[in-house]
Amino acid sequence: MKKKFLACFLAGTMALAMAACGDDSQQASDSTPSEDVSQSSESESESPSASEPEVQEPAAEDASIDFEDGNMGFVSVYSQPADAAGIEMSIVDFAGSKALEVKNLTGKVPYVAIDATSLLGADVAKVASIELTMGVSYEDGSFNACSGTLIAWSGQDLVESTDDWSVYLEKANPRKVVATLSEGEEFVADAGNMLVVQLKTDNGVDAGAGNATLYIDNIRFLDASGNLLTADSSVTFAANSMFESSGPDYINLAYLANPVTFEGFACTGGGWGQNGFEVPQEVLDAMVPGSVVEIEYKSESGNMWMLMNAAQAGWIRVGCGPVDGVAEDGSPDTSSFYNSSRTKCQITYEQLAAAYGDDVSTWGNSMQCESDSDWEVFSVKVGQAAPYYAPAGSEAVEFSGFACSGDGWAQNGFDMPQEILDALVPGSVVEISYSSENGDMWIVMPDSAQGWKRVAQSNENGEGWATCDGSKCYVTYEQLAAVCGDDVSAWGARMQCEASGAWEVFAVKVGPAKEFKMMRDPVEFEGFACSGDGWAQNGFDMPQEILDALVPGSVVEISYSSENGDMWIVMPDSAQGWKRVAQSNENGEGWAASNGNVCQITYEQIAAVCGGDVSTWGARMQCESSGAWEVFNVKVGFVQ
Amino acid sequence: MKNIKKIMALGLATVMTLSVAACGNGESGSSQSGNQGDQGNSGSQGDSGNQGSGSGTVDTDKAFGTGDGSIEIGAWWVQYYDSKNYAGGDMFVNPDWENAQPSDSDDEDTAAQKEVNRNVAQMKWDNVKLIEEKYGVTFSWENLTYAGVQDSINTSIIAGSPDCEVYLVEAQMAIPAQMNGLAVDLKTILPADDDLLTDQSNMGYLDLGDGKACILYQKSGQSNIEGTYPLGFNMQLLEENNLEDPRDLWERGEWTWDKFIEYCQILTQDTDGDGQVDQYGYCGYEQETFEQLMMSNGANIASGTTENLSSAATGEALQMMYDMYNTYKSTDGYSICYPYDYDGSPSDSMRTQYCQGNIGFFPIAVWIANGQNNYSPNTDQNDYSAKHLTFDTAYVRWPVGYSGDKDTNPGKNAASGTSYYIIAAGSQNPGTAYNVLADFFNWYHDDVEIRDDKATLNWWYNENAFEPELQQENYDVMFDCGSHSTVDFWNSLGTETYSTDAGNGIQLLMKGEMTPAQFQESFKQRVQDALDSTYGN
Repeated sequence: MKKKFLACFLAGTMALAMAACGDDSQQASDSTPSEDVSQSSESESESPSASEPEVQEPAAEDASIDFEDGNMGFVSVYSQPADAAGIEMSIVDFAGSKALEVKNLTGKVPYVAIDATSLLGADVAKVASIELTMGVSYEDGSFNACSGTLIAWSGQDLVESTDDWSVYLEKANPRKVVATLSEGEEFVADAGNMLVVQLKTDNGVDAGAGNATLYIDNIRFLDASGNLLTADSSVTFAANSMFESSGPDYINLAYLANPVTFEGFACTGGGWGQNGFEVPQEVLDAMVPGSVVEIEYKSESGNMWMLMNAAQAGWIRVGCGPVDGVAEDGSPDTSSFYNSSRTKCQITYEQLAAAYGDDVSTWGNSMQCESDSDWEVFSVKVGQAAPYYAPAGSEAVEFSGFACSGDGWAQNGFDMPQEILDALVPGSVVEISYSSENGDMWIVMPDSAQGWKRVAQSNENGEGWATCDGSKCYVTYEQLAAVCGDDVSAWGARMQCEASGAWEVFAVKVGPAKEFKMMRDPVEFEGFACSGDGWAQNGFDMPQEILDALVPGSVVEISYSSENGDMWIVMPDSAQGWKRVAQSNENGEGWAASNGNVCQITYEQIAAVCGGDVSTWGARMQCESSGAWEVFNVKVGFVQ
Repeated sequence: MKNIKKIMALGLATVMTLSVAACGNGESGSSQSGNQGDQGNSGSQGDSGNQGSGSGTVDTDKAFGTGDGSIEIGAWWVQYYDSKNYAGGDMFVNPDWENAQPSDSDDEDTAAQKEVNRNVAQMKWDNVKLIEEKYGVTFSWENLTYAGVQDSINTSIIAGSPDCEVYLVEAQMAIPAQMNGLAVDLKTILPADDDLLTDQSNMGYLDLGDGKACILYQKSGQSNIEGTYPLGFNMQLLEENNLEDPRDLWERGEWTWDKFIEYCQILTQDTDGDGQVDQYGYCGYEQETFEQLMMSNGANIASGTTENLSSAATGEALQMMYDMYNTYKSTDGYSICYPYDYDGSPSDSMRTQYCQGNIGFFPIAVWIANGQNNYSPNTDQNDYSAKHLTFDTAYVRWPVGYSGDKDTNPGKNAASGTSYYIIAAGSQNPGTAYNVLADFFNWYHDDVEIRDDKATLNWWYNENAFEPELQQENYDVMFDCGSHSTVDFWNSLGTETYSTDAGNGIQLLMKGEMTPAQFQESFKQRVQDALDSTYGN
């Protein structure tokens, strides 16, 4: 895209130059696909001086989308990247016309997807370049330079290509930016091709101005001849496969096993306003040690907590924590557990018991939700907290040839090869890649010395339930051992799968269990954002608050992307020497729990490598991966 | 690809400038020509054609004026010490100052270092005021973001009205800018006896072989030595084998590839007589070995617009590397190189094997020694009271190859440098911009002892050796390497450039599965294609 961008720029410059020679400015404005130069000229001539900045209105020209009709149904927030911000979009007046305003709600990186396929129909295949007018503003009225990337998803395979954009001078805010589709990056019809605008570098943050609000206007889809393509702004955004989730977002949460749904719990409230319902008996019955209350919600602040407002112990918020630095009187000083996208939170029985006492019968029969901003709750469930596992990595052993299917309550499977038997050791987990009609899945050991046994289906032997997210199912060695005994040689030859509805299994692996921990109240490692090539380390000195947070039971959580999906940490200054942690189990510390977006490494893993005394771990913490990588943030939190 | 894209961002600039300049030289009445008019007002209109032809020259009569009295330096990270911060009157927001504040827990060395750093910060702070008064200008760092720096160069310089007089750039931005006439050639405005064109005690420039001085960098002890990879050697191992110190051979001009191989052959031994070799002449990571052998032979692959992979000098360096791993043996028939870690992580294992004490020669850098805690064995990184190693590592320049020259061989590849400066073509007062930049860098007022105070460079000294005398000697070797910089983008052209279906080409060479001639033939066109993309040929 970059090379083509320049070629386009060259064409524009030459066209302008020729137009100037021919003294035909009308021709120039009509035929110029890119006018960065002319815009710069106008900025110079119209701005009285650099010391008196003013919002520059780009020259009016026809656009495929100008937002004047108020339509914005063809754009969507793109929240799949690990660093994606929560954003709010609306149409506002900016620089003399209507524009799409993108407010950053969470301080991370805004991504806005523009559905070119829906906007242009068959003409999408004609697009050679896309121009946008981009601007930024700050609440304090200051100007700070911003830049990011224009990401195009092209072709049937949604091939990704990028161009950089920037708004770097106040006198050229807003300014036109261009994405160009080079050879091999062409859009094709009916393929969900899109342009994603990402704001990556926001100088306002370091300058103390907060996050930039981004404005997008005058989207111009141009063909190879520079002709403007017409777009239908009334269309609705049609998500493509890039929006498909890699699985439910349970990072920092427990998997909810054997859940009981609080029927009818759906309500809203204003900031610091409570709303809720009378608790059915089956929900109260489910509130036992080891259980969690899971709330699916949205709120402006991202916060959510609950109350048993009729509890004998009093009116006590649970999960509120020190919101905005203000601890709630009488409340336990802990927050809810939040997933990374802040769409689900969980509050443990133990948190509730700390507030209301161990006897659930004294908690009353009314449950309410609350937040510090406008909120809406969609559902409430109570279930047993089960581990949520990271996908098996290269350290796992594949159960060769395990692919089969069955109807509901029908078993199918294979004899276990020796390498699978060898891998079934304490601390290991069976990972089943599957689909099933009801989303469930478990293991049957038909030839066990204990008899024909279902494992992790109904907790019949106190082994708990399998962790199933609809595509991956995990059953641990310990669960198998609880049913079939500790001696693997007594488990029989075969391993089978089963579900309550029609099912299909695509693959089975056995490897070390890499558990994502329930984590709350994380301490941010300020400024930890860096990147590196494969097997290259990068990182920072650990500030005191991070050293203080690294205590037994804590976990380091890394938000990242990497070429091969893996990530671990390096402690280069450890008294034990230069050490990789959780990369190859060299010190018996196990592997990092990572899923391509989030990586967790526990205090205990670091201690297994560097020793139990944090003061000997050295000054620096670094990240590393086997392929090119980028880390967006690092935090240390408390594990349930 | 990312790096190539960075270079490409500037690649077509010449052609674009030509198209504008061709018109600007004539009459023009459209708004587009307004920028040309602006240039004319500053006396540089007639030079715009020269810019288009790539010379980057300016009107010397006007070059040292003060224009509107402000010099802006476009950068992509927050910088301190400028008129904006000075006017704010608060140096306490400056991390240099904040981090140098004394603490009760400071030991004697730390306290001394902090005092030096406070004095340095104060001198730099005071220097801002001196510059303002001397030139009648204010100057400021403008954080444009990385993409913004690229956009600003691509648009505003080409348009003839640069947003900033000076840009902080990476080498990969700077070189196309010079080649495409977007940067002022200081040789066209500075007197011949200017420090930049003579001693280069304060600032240097990258010499791209086209006779121009466009890409500036600050001279200092640290900037000189960082990024250097001299040849390290195990002093005791050489002494035990009665081998003369190679640094003495270097001084006498006798430290050559042949002598190096002779040493390696002697050092490669089965020391415990078990029939297995356990001591080797050499061990190094492939990239350092390859690059240093090239430089030691005066060779390069991608230092200009035409590939030099196919050159005879590069061929000799490839042959040397091939022979080191495949041909040269000890008298007992052992390979002189430690078995290469093809299946593991050679960037770690091959860089650190020397710590085991069984390697004679190895590429060395302070960051490698630091990573292995060679001379700061305790968790406290400032504790140099003991050492991990059972031997001493000394540094020497790489031996001179058959086509190399002791006096001119490069000792450092500065292609990855990120702190270069260009003065924008079209800048109204490039001479003043240069003077401001030069004085800004010369905050130490020509007192090099202040600039390179050992207390501020203690990491570079303390991490390279245990004994102070050897620390100084090693530092001097690194400084000498850094004083002989070149720019070769051989390793920035994309990982696929030197790969085949059979694997990494350099490793294939080391394995003996690809000959030097095959290597040249396999990859020379790819290098040329990448350079063409880079420079828009």
